[in-house]
Amino acid sequence: MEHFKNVLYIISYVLMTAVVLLVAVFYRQPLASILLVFLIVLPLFSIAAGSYGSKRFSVTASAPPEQITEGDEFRIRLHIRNTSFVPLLRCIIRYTYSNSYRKDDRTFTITVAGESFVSDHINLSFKTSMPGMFNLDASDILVSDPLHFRTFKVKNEIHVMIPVMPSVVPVPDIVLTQYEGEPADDILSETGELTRDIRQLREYRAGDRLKDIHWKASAAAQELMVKEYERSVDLMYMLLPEIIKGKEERSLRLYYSLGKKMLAQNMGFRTAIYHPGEKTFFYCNVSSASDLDESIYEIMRESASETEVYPMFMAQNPGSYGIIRICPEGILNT
Amino acid sequence: MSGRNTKYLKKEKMLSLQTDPHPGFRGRKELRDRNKELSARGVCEGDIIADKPPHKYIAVLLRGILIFFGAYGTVWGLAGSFGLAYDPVKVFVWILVMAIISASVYYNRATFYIGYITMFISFFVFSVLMYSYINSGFQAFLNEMNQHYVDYFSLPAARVSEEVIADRSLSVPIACIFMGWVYCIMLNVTISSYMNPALTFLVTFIPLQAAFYIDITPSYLCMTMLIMCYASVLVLSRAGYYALPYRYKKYEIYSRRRRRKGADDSYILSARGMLSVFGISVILSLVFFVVSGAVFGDSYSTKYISNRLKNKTDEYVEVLVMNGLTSMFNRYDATGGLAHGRLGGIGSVTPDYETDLIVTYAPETSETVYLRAFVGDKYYVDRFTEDTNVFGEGGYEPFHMTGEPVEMEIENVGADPGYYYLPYHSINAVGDKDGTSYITYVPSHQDVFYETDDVGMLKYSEFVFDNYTYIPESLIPILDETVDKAGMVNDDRTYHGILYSCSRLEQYFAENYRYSLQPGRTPYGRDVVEYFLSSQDRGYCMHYASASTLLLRYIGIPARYCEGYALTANQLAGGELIEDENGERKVRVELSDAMAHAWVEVYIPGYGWIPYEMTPPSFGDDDEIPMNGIMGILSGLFNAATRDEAGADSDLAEGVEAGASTFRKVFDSIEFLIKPLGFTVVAVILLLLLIPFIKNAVMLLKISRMKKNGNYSDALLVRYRSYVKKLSGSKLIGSANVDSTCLAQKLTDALKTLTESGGYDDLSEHLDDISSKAGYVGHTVRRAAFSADNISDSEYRETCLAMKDVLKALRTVRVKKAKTLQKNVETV
Repeated sequence: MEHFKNVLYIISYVLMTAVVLLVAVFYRQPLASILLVFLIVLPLFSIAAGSYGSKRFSVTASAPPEQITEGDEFRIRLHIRNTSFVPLLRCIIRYTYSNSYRKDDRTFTITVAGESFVSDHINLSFKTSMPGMFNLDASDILVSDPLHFRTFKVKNEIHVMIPVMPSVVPVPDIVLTQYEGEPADDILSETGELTRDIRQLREYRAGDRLKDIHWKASAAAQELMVKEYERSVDLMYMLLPEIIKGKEERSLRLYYSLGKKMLAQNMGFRTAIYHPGEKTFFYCNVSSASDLDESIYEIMRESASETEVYPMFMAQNPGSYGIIRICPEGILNT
Repeated sequence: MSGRNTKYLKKEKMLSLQTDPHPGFRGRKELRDRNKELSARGVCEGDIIADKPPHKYIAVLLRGILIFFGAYGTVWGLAGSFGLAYDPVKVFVWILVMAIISASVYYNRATFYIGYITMFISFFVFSVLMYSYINSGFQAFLNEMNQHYVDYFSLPAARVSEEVIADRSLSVPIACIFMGWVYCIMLNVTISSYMNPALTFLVTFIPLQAAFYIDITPSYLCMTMLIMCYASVLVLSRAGYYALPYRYKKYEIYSRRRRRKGADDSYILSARGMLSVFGISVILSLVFFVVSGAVFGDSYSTKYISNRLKNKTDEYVEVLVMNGLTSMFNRYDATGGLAHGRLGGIGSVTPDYETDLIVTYAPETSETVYLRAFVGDKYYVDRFTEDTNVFGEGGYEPFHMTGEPVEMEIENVGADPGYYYLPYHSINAVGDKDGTSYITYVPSHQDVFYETDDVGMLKYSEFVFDNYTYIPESLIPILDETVDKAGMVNDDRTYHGILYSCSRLEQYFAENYRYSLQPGRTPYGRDVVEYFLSSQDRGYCMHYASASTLLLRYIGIPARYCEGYALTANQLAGGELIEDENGERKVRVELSDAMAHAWVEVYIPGYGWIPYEMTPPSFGDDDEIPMNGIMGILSGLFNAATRDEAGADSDLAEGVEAGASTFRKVFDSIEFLIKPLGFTVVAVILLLLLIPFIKNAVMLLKISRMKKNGNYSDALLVRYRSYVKKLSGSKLIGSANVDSTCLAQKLTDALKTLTESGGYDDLSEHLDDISSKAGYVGHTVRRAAFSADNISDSEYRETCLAMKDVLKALRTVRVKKAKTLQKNVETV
């Protein structure tokens, strides 16, 4: 499209030059002939300047520092830099944006002025109506020379990902059941709920991890002894947010609200996050507000599931019970 | 972000939040769309907001200046070119103020409506109050311009317009201010509203053609202003940073265009962008000014070469200057009646058959009675001027007719009231207020006896031969050719001899031409008579009469072109028989405009002026009119010739047919471009050649400044940057983006690769030395780049020396290797 526009500009310029040529031939005056020479030479300078300027042109983006909650308006800041002396560059940035739960490949375009020696900022404002991961992507910038004879493509990757947090909704006071049946424990975070402080040693039980065996104590006791760590917060609950396609926001709001409520009551919990692509679960331990945010980021990074998640969980963790299901319909104790 | 910008942003956001439940989104439809999008996508895009304020006032000011350049440049160009004293200071200030006021109208929506209404009212009031001054100033301008044209074309006379206010020091500046104001309004539309370079160019440049046409170049400074305006408008229109947000209610700096698959937001206002454009256009225009004015100005203004197209248009301009603007609009389809000697432009005649004259008389013969009104004297550019020659004191022709007189009553009901319609040999004519004339005349010249003294007769003959034998020089070739073809040459100047020539011509016309009321228009730039005789094989009475007049004059017979009405036997037969008060029977004939006629009258010594009918009879078989396309006009464009040559050589086909010389002619026509083009090409090549030197000089300047400030680290980094570029350019290393950490290794590898083939014993012992120098360079550069401590002067020097040594060694090895390879090839 840009190249087509260039052609239109070139045609109009050629027509203008032709008119001046006729005037020059008609009058044979220095004025018209010099004007003609200028018109002939100018495009070369324009294209050279455009090529030079495009190499010194870049656009970066920065996300807002504050947390964005659904319903908020926020702004993404584009930093436009033209370090060359060439002014009047017209730069076209094509970008797409969407909520991760509502993919959309529509392309939006913004035309900005690439003035010389300028580091400029503009803000793209967005409004949200549902939680999810907001993505903004732009890969190429098209830079046209001042007279628009040629458009240069500048490789410039922009990727902005902003979590849009769910709003807090009232959660009914229900008695939460404690979880029974430890899933595969792959706690990654050191700040997780299992600390390095050993609370006690106990005999080995089936299912204990090998790395928890206290070898010295086992040797002394002549039986396998297992370390049991101190927990900062007791993680006695397992939350299973079920993010079903088309109804994501309800589950997210309930999960976030319930999480906040539980943390307010000093109740830590674990969250099973479903990965629809691999059909597996991974777990987050939540004992603080930041953990809750992290867990929701993780949830929102995953796409929504087409089917119910609970049967999948039970299939992978048979014998478990006391799972707190967070469905679009509400909170269900199992 | 500066404090001011932050404030601006906060203010903008605050306002937006206060006025709208959807911050930043306004408009009912917009809100509906947003809500739809929000529910469908969970997110929607809002406004584009710039951190910086738009500085609308700067944009207004700049646009005002552009309008001023256009308006004042044109007024100055016109007034200055024709030497009008127009009080430059006052006009300058007025136009500047009006340009800025006009531009500020586009500040926002409110100013747009209020401003335009106010501006038009004040313009109207000014025009009414100053009408006399404006009109007089305009007439003064026309008079001056006409005078320049008269001088340029060496014309006999020009139209002079009346200046009601004789004091030009008042009328001319006011007219200039008026003109400037009109331009401000027009340019405000073409610049502020549309930023249209083509319209801006047309509006301002076309009026200047009045000066250019007669080789007057307006002041170069004024042209520089105009070029500045054109360049700015051209670039701004392409960049798209020109619009003021009067029509973009919602967005201050960005406009949004919704598409099916997204939206386009375009930056519409950048005061800084406009400023850059303005700056560049100033530079460009100054270069233009210097190059065109100082370098080529003299050499070209003294060397005028005309072209055929211009010479053709000259003829029209001459008519315009002498006869006024209305003469240019005489290209029409006539409805009959008198043409007052104007022959050009009439393509066809369609009579309306309305009665023009009512003639009542008692005819004595069946001969055609010519009621003469207009008598043409000199022929000049498609027109016979009215005969104003006066013979003797009373102006009467010295003939005394002796036949039996007849009385005729002529009532003018629709013919041109400016004339009497008199039959030949009129003796007495009495007119009344109603346009009715009573005329006594002698009905037939065949029976006329002349009773006059010889002296009077001779004097009149002299007078006639002096005044009625003029023909334009440009028509001589075609007249000569036609006279030959018609066989008109006859030395006998008696009654019979002259009638013989006339009859030959009449016969020639009858055999070779046809009567047609739709003969087609004469092509632009060609003479009516010349075209009629050479190319057009048809015509009506006007063509035959005019051509006959000139042909007869060419062979020395005094002749005049006449217009009036012809009363033929056929009309008489169709007339109404009446009886007057005295019981005398008369015929009453109504003559319509279709009876209007043109004929030639011939002077026969002793007989006087005798009408002669040259027009062949009509058979009602009009053919299609031959077309004369625009290509015929354009074909002469590139056929360069000097003014005289072009004038003499009027046959366009000649230039085209001369195939071998066409190229030469085209080349000659663009020869004038070679010098400036050559100059520019040489300048560009020189500039390109000088770029590396300029860059080097800039770098050295930078380094010296850094060294002066004790900043050796930065100086070394600049030198290093240039050094790796040099290495990369010499293909000694792969890329100019080589990291300082691996530079040493790359250099050593390059050396090893070059010396691998052996035979470089003299160098191999230095290899370690060079490698260590490369290592030292890399090390120091790393320090300069990353260490908080500045490197010392001596370190800088040593590193530079090491760089040189390494480069020298690499180049030496490469040259030696190339030589060895060549030797091996030769040996093989």
